[in-house]
Amino acid sequence: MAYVDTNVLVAAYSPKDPLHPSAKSFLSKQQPRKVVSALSFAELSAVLSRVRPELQLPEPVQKEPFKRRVRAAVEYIFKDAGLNLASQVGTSIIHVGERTVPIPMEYSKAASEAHRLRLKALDLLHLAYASLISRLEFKLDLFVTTDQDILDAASEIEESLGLRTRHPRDLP
Amino acid sequence: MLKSKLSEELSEDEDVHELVEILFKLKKNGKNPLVLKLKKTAVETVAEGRGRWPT
Repeated sequence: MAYVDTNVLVAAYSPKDPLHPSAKSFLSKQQPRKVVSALSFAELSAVLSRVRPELQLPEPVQKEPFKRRVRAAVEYIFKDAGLNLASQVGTSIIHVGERTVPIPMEYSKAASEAHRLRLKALDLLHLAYASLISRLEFKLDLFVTTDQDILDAASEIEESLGLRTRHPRDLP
Repeated sequence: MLKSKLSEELSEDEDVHELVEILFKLKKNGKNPLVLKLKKTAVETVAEGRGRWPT
């Protein structure tokens, strides 16, 4: 199974994007099965909201309030691309200063891998999600992305998290 | 109990099932119901939201 980064989803629905053919082709295949996280859900909602006039929907849907259009677009993309939305991964207990608090497990995982991967926070969080989903819900082999920073850290990611990082155009 | 009530109040969802059905019906009829006409590439658009331009 593969965790799909948001940039692959956006490219697949942007016909003029240079990566559209490879992203579309990857998503149209039954295998590997594809997984996204709660972060993907939030991030795709944010992207579609930011590009408001660039999101083209047909007339009956276009008349709906913007909030509902974005939600419908996200749900359509997830369903159309055959994505499994992984469920919440759980909490970790951390001790910071004088406080002992439960925090979302993906945050503690991202923090613990930060020194090794040295990526931006959202990149790290996607990878942390993929790693935890792989251990707790769906066994994942691949992290599919078009983000060069993540692709450049492929060997560290494989070593630390056991996930192979691939660009969709490099997949069969 | 307070926490679960608050969590219920804070959770927001939209039932857009009907709209999604419309989009799939159009797709079944050979139309492309959702198109992004981005001014930037998909990589740039997503990377901007992550606080950087892609390298």
